[in-house]
Amino acid sequence: MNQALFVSALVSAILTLLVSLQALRTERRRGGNHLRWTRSRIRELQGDISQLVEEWTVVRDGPDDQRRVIFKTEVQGGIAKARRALDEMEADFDAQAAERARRERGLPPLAQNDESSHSSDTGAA
Amino acid sequence: MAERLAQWYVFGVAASLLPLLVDALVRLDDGRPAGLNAVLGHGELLLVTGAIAFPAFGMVVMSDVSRVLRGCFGGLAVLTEILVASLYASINREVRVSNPHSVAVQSVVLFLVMLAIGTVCVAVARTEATL
Repeated sequence: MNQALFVSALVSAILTLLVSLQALRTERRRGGNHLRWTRSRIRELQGDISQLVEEWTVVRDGPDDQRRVIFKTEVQGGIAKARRALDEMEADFDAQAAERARRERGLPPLAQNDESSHSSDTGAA
Repeated sequence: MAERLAQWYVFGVAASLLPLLVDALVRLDDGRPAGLNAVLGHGELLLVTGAIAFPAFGMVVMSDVSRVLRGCFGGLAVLTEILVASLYASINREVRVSNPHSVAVQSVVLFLVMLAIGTVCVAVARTEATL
């Protein structure tokens, strides 16, 4: 009984694994996902920035100078972080769009060294 | 993706395995056997397997993959969970497990396969969960 259940569970699990791999392949093939993912991250960042601005507005009008300075530093740090993330996303998105355009035109994907030089350019920027 | 996978491995898999680890440590402390057969011989790992796999399955079912794939996956995932649960129940029907080694090996095999499925599920959900 146990053996039969084990074999059934194993077969079922392996079939599930195969279907999930197929789902992963399908997802990878779909070009729009990356765009949607980037948009969702941008929306998240917009939310973060709005929250930071709101916090800053509340504290700016408050009486405590020390707290004001601390919050100002935090807000500036947060904005710098958001800017960096947006720059990274933009570079990433451009690379994906270029790759997709190449694929649509039937050209081979960019060489590894091209990608690495692109990423190093982005990092330098 | 690495971040999401790390999150799942740490807060899902490792946290679920913690009770088994503590059990093994307590057994060691008490001077009782703490090997694979002793700790996993009653199908304990099957419970952990079910607990970690089902939330990961949910990520695929709630994702934006085609309806056919989601249907196939959901059906197979539920069937797998039911079979794992039945196996656990079947093992524990006996007052004393006759072959703990076999149970431990079966549990580990199923756990590893489910871990692989969970990893794929988390990877599939990568693009969709943040929408």
